[in-house]
Amino acid sequence: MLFLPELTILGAGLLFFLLTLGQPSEATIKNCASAVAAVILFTCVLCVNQTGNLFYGAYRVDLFSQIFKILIAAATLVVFLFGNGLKGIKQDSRPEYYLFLLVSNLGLVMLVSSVELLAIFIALELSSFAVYIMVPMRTTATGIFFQMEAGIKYLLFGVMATGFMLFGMSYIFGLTGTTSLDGIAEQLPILANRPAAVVAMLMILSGFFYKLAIFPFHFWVPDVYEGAANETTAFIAAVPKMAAVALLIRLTSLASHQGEMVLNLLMVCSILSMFYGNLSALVQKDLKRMLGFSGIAHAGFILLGLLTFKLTGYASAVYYIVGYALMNLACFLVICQVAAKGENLGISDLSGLHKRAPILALTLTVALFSLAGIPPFVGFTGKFMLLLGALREDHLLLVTLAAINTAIAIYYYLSVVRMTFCSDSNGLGNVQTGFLANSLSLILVTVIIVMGVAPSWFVALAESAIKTIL
Amino acid sequence: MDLELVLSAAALIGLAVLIPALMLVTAIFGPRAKGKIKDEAYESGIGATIGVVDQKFSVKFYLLAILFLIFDIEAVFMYPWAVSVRELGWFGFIEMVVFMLFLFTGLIYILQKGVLNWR
Repeated sequence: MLFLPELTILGAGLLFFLLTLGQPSEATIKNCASAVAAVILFTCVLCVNQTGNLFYGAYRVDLFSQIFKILIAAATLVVFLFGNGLKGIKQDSRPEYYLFLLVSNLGLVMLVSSVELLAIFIALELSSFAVYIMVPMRTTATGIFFQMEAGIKYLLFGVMATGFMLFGMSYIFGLTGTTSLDGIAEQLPILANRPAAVVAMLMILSGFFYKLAIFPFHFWVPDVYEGAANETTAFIAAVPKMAAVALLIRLTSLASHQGEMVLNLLMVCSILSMFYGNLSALVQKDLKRMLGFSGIAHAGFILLGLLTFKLTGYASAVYYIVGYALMNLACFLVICQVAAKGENLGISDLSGLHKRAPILALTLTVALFSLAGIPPFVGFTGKFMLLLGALREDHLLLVTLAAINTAIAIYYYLSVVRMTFCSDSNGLGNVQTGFLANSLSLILVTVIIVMGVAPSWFVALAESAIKTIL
Repeated sequence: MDLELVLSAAALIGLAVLIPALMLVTAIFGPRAKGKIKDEAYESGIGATIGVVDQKFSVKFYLLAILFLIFDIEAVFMYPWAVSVRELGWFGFIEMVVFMLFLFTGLIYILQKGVLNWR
């Protein structure tokens, strides 16, 4: 029972492997995908109260890991249900696409449960390599050949980030003599201020900053977001970031004893991410690219929560990343529906959306208001809690700069809203939306509003989960 | 024992003399043929194009190399098992069969997609 979610994902992967061997119809693939995602979510919820150690202490199942597994499975279910049936991927590659998505999912699920350095590395590589392959798997029928370049960039940056992380892991092993995170947590406060330990911890953190898209490890983001298919970008924007935040919480609680140097570096990374992301997003014309740069800025915000090194800060970071995943999934749902052939959408392609597809326009507006930090949505509550936590730790300059960034970000989010509501649809046709897409968008809007208005139950849940690992 | 030593020494010396002698005979009395293409160095068939870098390769060469690598590593994993197969007993045998089954499913995928058709 401890390993049941992972076994379910593995079984789902094998099912899709068998589908790749035959010639299944499109309806079969779509139905199988939705069914397996629902089953995976169900098993994750079923196993939420399991605790135990597996694989000689390298793999720990506790409340923290199980809650993140539920979140990852739920986000994957939403991505699978995007409705349009993978218009952005070549017809024959669709079962393989789902297979790689499930393999990446398995890697992420194993990542949040790993408590040993090599297990973390293997799970991270498993999830990353599957996504490296998914990025170029985009149909060239829309005349876009950019996905190959995006795939190469993602691969090269990712492998380098992994290299740095592994090097840092080797240093930590050399200094502490153990690869288990518990053993390292015992030994690290003793050799806290040695330069080798500080550099090693920063290199390990940099591997996960790459996944979370923090400056200066963000260079893959705009090209990959623009080049990959819309569904792939939806997955990349939402799911690996949650696993990266989970691991960052584990690792920063280790690094918290190293005092000023790590704190200063995290502050610098946070501020630079926010400014770089927001300023670059101001001039973007492609919608996915803009969302990519805004993701960099939001990652800077999450770092605000992580650098408090306190339980409340970590819980706010978890709340914020869940809210961020919801908002991004809502945006990408709209993008996947409006881009009927799987092409890239410019911001001007959304003009007059309120006449063409009212429910999608509502979803996009709620998601963008929430990203901008306007009450009563989850983005506002998340930003508020993060800024409050940072203020309590007396990081006044940081909070001021973060508030300035929120103001900068409002411009580009609201310019998209203006395009949806206040322009005429210059001859762009109506958007066909099925019942599934409409109901999914309304569900996402409801969850965004509910989580924004009543955050305390989720924050309490996150705090109880994080207490088990601190 | 003496006889064996003498006979094996004689055989070795005989071979050591005979083989170069035959090669010398064919080199002196054999037919000669020269040609521009025949005299070029063999560079895996790419020819005298060492300086040309934008020549396109078919991806099937790369695929074949990668497939060889995967199944060769599988064979490498089987060597230590083969050395200690008796100590590992039935449990080790079944583990090894499971490992081979995983790679066998990969082989089924390769065959189904027709990657081994040298088109």
